[in-house]
Amino acid sequence: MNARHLWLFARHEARLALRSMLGRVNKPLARFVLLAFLGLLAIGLSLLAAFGLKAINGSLSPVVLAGISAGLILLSTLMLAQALLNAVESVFVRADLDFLMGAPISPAIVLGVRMLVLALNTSLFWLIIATGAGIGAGVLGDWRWLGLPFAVLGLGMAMVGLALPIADVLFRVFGARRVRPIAQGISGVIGVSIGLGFQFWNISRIGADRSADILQVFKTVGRVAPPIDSWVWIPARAFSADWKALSLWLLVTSFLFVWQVLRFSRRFLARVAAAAGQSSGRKGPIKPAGPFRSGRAALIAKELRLLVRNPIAVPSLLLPFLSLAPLTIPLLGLVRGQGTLPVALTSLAASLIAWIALSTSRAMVGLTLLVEEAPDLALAAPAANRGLQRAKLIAALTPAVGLASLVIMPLAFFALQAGLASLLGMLGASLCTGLVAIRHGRPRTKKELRPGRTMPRMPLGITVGGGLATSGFLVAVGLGSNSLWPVAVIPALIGVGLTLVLLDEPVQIEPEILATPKPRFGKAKAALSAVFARVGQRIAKPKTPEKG
Amino acid sequence: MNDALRLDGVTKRYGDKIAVDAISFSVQPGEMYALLGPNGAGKTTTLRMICGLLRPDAGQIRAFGVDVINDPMAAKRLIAWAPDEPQLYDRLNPMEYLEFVAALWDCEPKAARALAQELLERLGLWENRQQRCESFSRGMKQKTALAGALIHDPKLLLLDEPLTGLDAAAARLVKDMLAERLQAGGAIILTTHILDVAERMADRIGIIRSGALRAEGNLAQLRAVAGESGSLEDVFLRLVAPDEPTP
Repeated sequence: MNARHLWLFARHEARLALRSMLGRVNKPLARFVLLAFLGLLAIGLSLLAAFGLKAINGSLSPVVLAGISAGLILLSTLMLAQALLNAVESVFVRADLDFLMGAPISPAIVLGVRMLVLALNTSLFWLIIATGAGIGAGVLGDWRWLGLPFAVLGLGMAMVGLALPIADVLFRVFGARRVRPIAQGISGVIGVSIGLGFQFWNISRIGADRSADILQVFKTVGRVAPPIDSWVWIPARAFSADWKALSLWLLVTSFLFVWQVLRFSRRFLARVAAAAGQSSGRKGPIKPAGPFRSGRAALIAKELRLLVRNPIAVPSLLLPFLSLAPLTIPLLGLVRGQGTLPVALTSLAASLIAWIALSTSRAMVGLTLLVEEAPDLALAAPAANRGLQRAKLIAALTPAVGLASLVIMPLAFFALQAGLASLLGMLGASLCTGLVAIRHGRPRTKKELRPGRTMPRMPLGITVGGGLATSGFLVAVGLGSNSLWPVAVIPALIGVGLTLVLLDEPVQIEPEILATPKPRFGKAKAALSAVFARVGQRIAKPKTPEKG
Repeated sequence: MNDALRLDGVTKRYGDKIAVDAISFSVQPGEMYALLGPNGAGKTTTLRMICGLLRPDAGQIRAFGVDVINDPMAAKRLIAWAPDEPQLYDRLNPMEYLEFVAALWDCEPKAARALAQELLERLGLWENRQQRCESFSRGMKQKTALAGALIHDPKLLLLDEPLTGLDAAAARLVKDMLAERLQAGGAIILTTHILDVAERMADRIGIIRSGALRAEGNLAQLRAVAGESGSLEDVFLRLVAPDEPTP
């Protein structure tokens, strides 16, 4: 291993990370636009941050340091979530490790370079902001702010250092096959934990004087906080143009990073072997194989299995509903006899549940379409395409609608009208979005079948029409929650009508030999479809179709 | 008696490019027909048209007398296609996969379950029946796909490179299973780049180049057409060689 190899490997890792970040943006112009937009955003945020930092100059106090520390904790949770996902992906999922281990490169170097790029990748967004802000604040006032990006990089390394043992434990407990979805779930929970906690506090203090609460927090911090030269404030001071603290911070975080990388690399070969599939088989006794299901039951079972085993499905399904959890706080408040629920709040809750149910339904339908790894098999079979689509729809809607129903139950207990409106609206909107997605969201190119995507592209006119239809259901939920049922029927009927218009003949995975579209709702439907198509064409510039 | 398969003047174009050019041949019940040709010659396109995945621009295809283009559902009940890249679901195990395939072909569940066990046992996959296909080797995937092709007892088997990734024992087993299908009156069309396999297994061989059938028949007939007395490899290379430019 020489410097040339090290450079080659570092460049390889950086290129993979960059392409992973840019994702499907392949065209040079699109990349330029995206990077220009991100650059402008970073400059704007950097300038804001620079003025903020200038205000801090020379006015450090325990209260300011406590504020900075709170910000760092929030930043740490976001970075840890990202680092955990990246670590699992780059160590246990990416299939190039066995190949790299065949090259004459030390495992410690392979892992070290990979983890360093991972730390950069994890902190990249914040690093860009911090660089801009640091330079800005340095020019505006104190040159010592130039150390800010190094402090952020140190935090990134520390979070990768923490993520590695967590990933290791997850691997040992859950095995190579399950480590990715489990890590996704955990990183999601870590990522939203601070936000959720704040929302819990926010909603539970409805009606209270929150500014007084915040003032009280500041007073308490001012009273009990240690002096500014205490070691407790070293991380906060490292982010506050204190070069002595920054040096110490970098020393500690680098040590944590290097220590974890070395510790981890000792077991690296075993991990690589496991990641390559040698240990991923089922352990324990083989259960007797059960009977085969017939017809539709077997088709639905297959779709449900693929959905449940898709690592993207669980976080896509659970996180939106998890974010609903704070809504239960006012209901608990009711149980404690703290008053009645305001109508506006129940309407909002009912509409929100319906909206989350429809968006998760849409995501689930997208996943069932995109996990179709063997489309030719279905096409070569003498099975009606409609039956396959119905199985996909049922499998996709079952978990989303089921979870939403669980959330609606307590709402219906306290506010029957809102619960009922939410249930009906959620069913209508989910069915509408599912049907439209199944009919029109067929994967057109191999690019659309890449893992990580949750929905194939649909024509813009169909997307707009589908959005209008589901909006009709959501408006109906809001009106129904306010006991305006006769009025609520109107947007609901508009939603149903638009859905029927948007439903065309099955086109999801149509064999060319069977693709003979036949309109089912006559001329009126064809005319309305043409209107939507025209709207779509006007909004979107016509594109040359991609070649598959 | 009906031909197991008959293609008459079948043509497929992709834009200006002619992928398959008025190809005609027939296969009899109990016969194995090997379709050979260099990469991009049109073999897979031909197979995709036969199993109803592509509509020909011209020509007619009949499987056991059923018109594949006008009555695709009836034709598909008779045909199984095993492409060169096994069409499996990574997150299903072999039994779950076979249950799905049996449902697609509307097989009776109890009989399909019994046949699935028999096929997996013969192919040496019964012990792996609860492992997901994602952890399978290429050969195991190939065998699972073959079990999927046989689960609905097809009369016409289309096999694209069926022996890829199989070890010697598994390849022998698959050949035996295919021979049984032929004895039972089924017909098989296979494509392969292993000319030795085609020479030993196939009753007749068709050689395709640039979408057109250059020659067909048994080895002796191919030799006569090619004016070449050597092995099938020599004959093949002569028949697929680019035309010499006229002076």
